[in-house]
Amino acid sequence: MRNRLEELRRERGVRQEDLAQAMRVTRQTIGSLERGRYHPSLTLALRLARYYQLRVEDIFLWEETDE
Amino acid sequence: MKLSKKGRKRLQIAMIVFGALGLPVGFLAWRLPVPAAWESAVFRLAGMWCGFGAGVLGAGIGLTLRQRRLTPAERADEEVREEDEREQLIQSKALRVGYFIGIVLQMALVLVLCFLGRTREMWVLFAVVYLQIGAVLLARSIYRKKL
Repeated sequence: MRNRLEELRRERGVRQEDLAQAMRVTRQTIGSLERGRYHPSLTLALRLARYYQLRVEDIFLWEETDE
Repeated sequence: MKLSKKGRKRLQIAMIVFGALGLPVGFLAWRLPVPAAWESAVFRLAGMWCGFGAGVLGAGIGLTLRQRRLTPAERADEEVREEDEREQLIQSKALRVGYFIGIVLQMALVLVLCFLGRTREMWVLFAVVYLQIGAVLLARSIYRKKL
């Protein structure tokens, strides 16, 4: 699963620390999400989508190879 | 394990009380007039109890002092870290690996005891391993009904 978290964050000029604070997670979790090493829970994915005012599927991109 | 602020405070108090009570109980057990055949077992158990009580007391006091010395910002960081889902996943993975390693080590110890001819100890440890695995299976069946 790919995601556009880093791209969106940079686009909006948000720091990892600020995003982490808004999501109530650690900065390391944001870094891990951006690198695609950790897949978020549905709750966190929805919170991120709400933060960026996008749909979850606009942020997290599922690929056939993920199966 | 996620604990609320109140829960954490209660746990720390319980640790301090348990440790503070455990220590004198251990010392008292030391002085108990017991039959000669039991003396060595009671002596060892009392020593273990004292050590355990001191450990729990120390940990309780340490945790309480640490909690008090944290600044509000550090405390907030700690709360976020405790609630962070990735941290929780890491914790549960570490516990799973630790549990598996523990079982392997205990089975290795069962073999060592078997080779040393300490059959009584070997069976006790064997039973402990089986109980641990049984507890996991029981917890799994409970969670299957819950989730």
